[in-house]
Amino acid sequence: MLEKRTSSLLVVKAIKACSSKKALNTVFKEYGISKLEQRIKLLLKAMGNPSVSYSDCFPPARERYNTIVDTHFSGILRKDYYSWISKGKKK
Amino acid sequence: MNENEIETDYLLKNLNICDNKEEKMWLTNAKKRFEMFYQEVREQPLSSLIRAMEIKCRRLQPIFPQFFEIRWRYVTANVGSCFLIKDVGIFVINIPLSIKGKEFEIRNLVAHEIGHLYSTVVSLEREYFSEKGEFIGDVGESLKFLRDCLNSENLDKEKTESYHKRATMIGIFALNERSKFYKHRMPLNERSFCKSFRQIADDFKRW
Repeated sequence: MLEKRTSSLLVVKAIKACSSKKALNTVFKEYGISKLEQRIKLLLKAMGNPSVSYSDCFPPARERYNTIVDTHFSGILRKDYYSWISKGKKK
Repeated sequence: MNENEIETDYLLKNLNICDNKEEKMWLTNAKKRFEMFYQEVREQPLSSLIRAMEIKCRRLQPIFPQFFEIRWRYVTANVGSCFLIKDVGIFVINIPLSIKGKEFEIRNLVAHEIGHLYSTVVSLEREYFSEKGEFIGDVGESLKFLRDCLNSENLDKEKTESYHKRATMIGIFALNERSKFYKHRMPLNERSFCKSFRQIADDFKRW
């Protein structure tokens, strides 16, 4: 159990360090994570666990994965992307 | 000639700046620049609904931060979505690139996603705020409630379906209100909404 948690933390750390979709795929391959559901969970963890809803009630895992990957790399949910608003400073 | 085409000479005369070269030049440049800027204004889907929702959320202190913001963007994915960041400072609406330029589809999608936020916020108000609008709950608990309701990744099938339908209902209400405005208020106020360029310029004389 402990081993599983440690490895999940390592993957999350590795995902956070990725700067491209290619690098992300490499990380998943290296850790042997092929199931989309598992990838989605880890990606959301790396993004700081945002809440997500879809315009389709139950979209396929591939669509959910693509949406989350796209949002992750846009950086729009990253704290440093928008925190200047609260401080009244320009980015 | 289109009655809403900008008549530079008429405007210069109206503003008493016919002999001011500097102002004339400024007007010529501003006309082109403003047209470009206004293109961006036209591309903002349901901007008044988005703004009103931002204000509604910002009033819900201490749950939403004062700088709470709703943004939208295009994504390569084929499905629309919305994200609420963990500290609830930003709500992002993702619009699939495949519907770019399709105004009606974009509006429907944005209204649906705003519907997700609205229906959750209304439930939050009912659970954690008094009738006077005072917060009467626990911050941690209410934040969890807000995040959970908006997270279809963790919801069961029944709740996902229920929240999805509620979002659709709100989306329909929003677009119906918009339709009511155009259908009933527009013809009634046609004289003030659909003025010619000269009429508008004349109205501004007092400012």
